[in-house]
Amino acid sequence: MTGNIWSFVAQGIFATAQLTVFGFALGAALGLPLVVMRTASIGPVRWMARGFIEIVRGVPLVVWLFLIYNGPTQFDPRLGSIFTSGASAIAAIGLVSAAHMAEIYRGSLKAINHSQWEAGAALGMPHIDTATKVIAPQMIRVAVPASAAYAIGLIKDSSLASTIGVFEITYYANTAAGSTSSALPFFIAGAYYIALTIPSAWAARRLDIRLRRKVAR
Amino acid sequence: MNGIWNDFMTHRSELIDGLSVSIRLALLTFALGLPTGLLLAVAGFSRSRAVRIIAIILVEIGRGMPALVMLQLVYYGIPVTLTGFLSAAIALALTTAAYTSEIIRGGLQAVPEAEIEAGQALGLKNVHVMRDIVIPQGLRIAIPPLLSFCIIMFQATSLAFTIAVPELLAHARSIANVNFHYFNVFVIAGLLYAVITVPASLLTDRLEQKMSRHLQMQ
Repeated sequence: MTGNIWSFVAQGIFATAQLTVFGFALGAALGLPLVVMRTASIGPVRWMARGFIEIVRGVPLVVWLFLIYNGPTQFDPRLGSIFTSGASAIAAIGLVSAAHMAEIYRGSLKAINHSQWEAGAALGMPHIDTATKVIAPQMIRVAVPASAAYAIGLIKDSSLASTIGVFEITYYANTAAGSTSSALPFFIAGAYYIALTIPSAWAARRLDIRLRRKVAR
Repeated sequence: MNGIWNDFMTHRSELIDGLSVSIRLALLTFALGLPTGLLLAVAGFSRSRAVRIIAIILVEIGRGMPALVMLQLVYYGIPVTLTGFLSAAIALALTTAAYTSEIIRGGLQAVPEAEIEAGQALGLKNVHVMRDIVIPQGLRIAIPPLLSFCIIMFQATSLAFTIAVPELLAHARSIANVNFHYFNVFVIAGLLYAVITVPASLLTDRLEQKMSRHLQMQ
């Protein structure tokens, strides 16, 4: 029986990985325009981006999940077939990660010496070229450790998707706990999450050390 | 917009009650979790290898397990019957302890080595060096990241609806399941969380800037 629960809960591992990867990819991409707005020289654009980031980060992920999954059905019940649980979960995770990633990008932008912008301007490079060809490649490299740490956090945060019925690890654990009326499935789920996060954290640390070796000189 | 305001006015007493349960749950979580986090951080500096290893294992388990899974584990796994509120506080406190121990450890490590040596040179026992020199300064350094983490844990109290704690999200769900105004009600719930978290995070940013002013260039 116990062996059964292990393989039963394991059915959710792929969905957990999918939620994490797609949610993070969406957030990493959407974070870029957001950080451009957040650091824009036009005041209102900057304030809008800041307000957006603060609100998105200030509201718990579960609330975003319910809002995106259930919210649209208030206006038209048929919208429920567009906002499926999987799509809603990826959208919600993507939204929240976009706000966090924008802040991570902003932190790494600050770490890049401002004189590089001036050097670009002195060489007569257009501002956009300095941004995309000089600053961005360095920014992404500096952002790697923090982004990796955030992505690893998302593995665990994706467990919230079980509350809107995505068939991931926690969902299967809940189902198994319901039918066996024991807490064992949650131990197993926890073990799977730890088994997913510890190697990822280790890999992230290795990547960070490698990149740092390349940059520091 | 009007609909949202109407829904808020109709259900405001339940929603505000829910928010106050969320706040109380968060406060109890911090009261249990932060001292445990300090204990784990100090244990990480222990001279006994066994104590250090146990601390590391506890921290890794606490950080590797999602808060949601921790909630279910404590609620269903502890043989003693606890109320949902208490189980939620214990589960969230375990997560808090694991994460904050790392934050506090960073703070303690930031205290210059020379201060510890100075304490030892004065003939202080290790306990006193830790208690009177390292911890007071290390905790001070750790305050801004600890506050940021507390804001995250306040948001995590929303998970307690899964074990039937009548906090804000639980109320919002039961209201929405009756009047089907899912969008309105969850927008209200989100804004009520934001009313606490956004000012708190702005204040934390200010505090952090103030405390690190001496590190800034120019």
